Amino acid sequence: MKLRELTAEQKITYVGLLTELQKDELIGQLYAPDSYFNPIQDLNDNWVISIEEIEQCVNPDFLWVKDLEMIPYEPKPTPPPFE
Amino acid sequence: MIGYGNSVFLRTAWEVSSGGTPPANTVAPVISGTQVVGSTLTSTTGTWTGTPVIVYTYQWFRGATLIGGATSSTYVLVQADAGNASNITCKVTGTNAFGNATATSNTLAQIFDFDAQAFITSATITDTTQKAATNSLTIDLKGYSVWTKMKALYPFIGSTATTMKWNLKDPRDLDAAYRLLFIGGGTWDANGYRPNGSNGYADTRFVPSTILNVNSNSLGYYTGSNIVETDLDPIPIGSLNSASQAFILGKTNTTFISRVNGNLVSFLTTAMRGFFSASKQTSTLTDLYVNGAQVATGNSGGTLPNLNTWIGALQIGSGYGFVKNDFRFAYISDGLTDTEVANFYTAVQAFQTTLGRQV
Repeated sequence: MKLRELTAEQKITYVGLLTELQKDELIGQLYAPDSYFNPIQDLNDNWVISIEEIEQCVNPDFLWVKDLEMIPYEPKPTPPPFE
Repeated sequence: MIGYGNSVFLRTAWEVSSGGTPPANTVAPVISGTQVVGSTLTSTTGTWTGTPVIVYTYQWFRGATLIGGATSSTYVLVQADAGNASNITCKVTGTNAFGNATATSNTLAQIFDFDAQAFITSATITDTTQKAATNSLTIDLKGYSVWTKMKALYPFIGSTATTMKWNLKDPRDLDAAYRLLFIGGGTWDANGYRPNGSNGYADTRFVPSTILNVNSNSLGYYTGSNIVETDLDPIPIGSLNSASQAFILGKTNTTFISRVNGNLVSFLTTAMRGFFSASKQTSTLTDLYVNGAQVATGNSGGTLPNLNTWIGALQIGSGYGFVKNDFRFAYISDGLTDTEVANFYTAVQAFQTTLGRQV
């Protein structure tokens, strides 16, 4: 499913799926002035970026993110850092 | 006429016979200059009629108050002049042998604090309300004597990442000035910065262990969001190496917590909006505050973390506890007293009120 096919409700919970190569390409790069991409891994170790990064991307080098496959976001549980 | 001695009478008599007239102002004096503390204002004399030659004197005023010693055609603005309704004027008095008259210049109403202006310039703020709010905030913080304790102040004004990245205390586009780096997803609008709760945060580049005194430190944020975070431990601001090496404010839907270089201090509250802060002023205690009022105190010890402080998540090497509440203000400072926190809140609340986003 592509970004343009998502309903407003789906947009709240979906993220863009990246390949390993695409992830490496985005790290440390701007998607808009003063805003940097931040690929993270989901529950299934997929590399993903948020819908905000995709929608707000105006960097001509990375406009291909607007064509990424979209998947529901399943956060990776992390143990509390204290307690 | 002073200094003319007896010649005054003789000259006056001569002027009378030759049609001399007292000074009269026909075009008011004009004061001009950059309206920022430290800048020099200059007053013209205006246009006058009258003979013989007119001698001009100057007196500068702050509102209705005469500024002592400010009696030349130029005046260097001082901190006491800073304000959005300072009303600086200059009265020019023209004197000749036939009398004197006084004319008042135009009024320079708004005088910017030097640091406020530096921030406004860096952040390219053009909105008059935002400029006035920044000016008042800076003046208030200096008036309350908390400015010098501040290390990083993030007002989050404007509507883009580019206007919100600046540290009011040091508005340079440098990591060393703790200018924010926005990482991952978020939105920026009139209500400040709102990270997305999954991978978005702002990196202050501020390392507590190298900047702050382990026994004197404070941090806090102002939010208008009523969001119940889904994460187990939502952490709006902080960094952590270990449980005894932390600099954290956390807020769930039931509890406000802090761990400043040591033990956890917590306060049960369902309030989600407002100004939340923690301050440590001794080697053993950390105090929690909601809207400037102390709500809890607890034991504290340990050391400060050597990782960058993040806003919108906890930095533990990676990201943890991502939140999606908005940030309308955030700060890091030396330890603040109860009175200083209360005054700080008063200033920040006034700032938010001017911007129409107070809670």
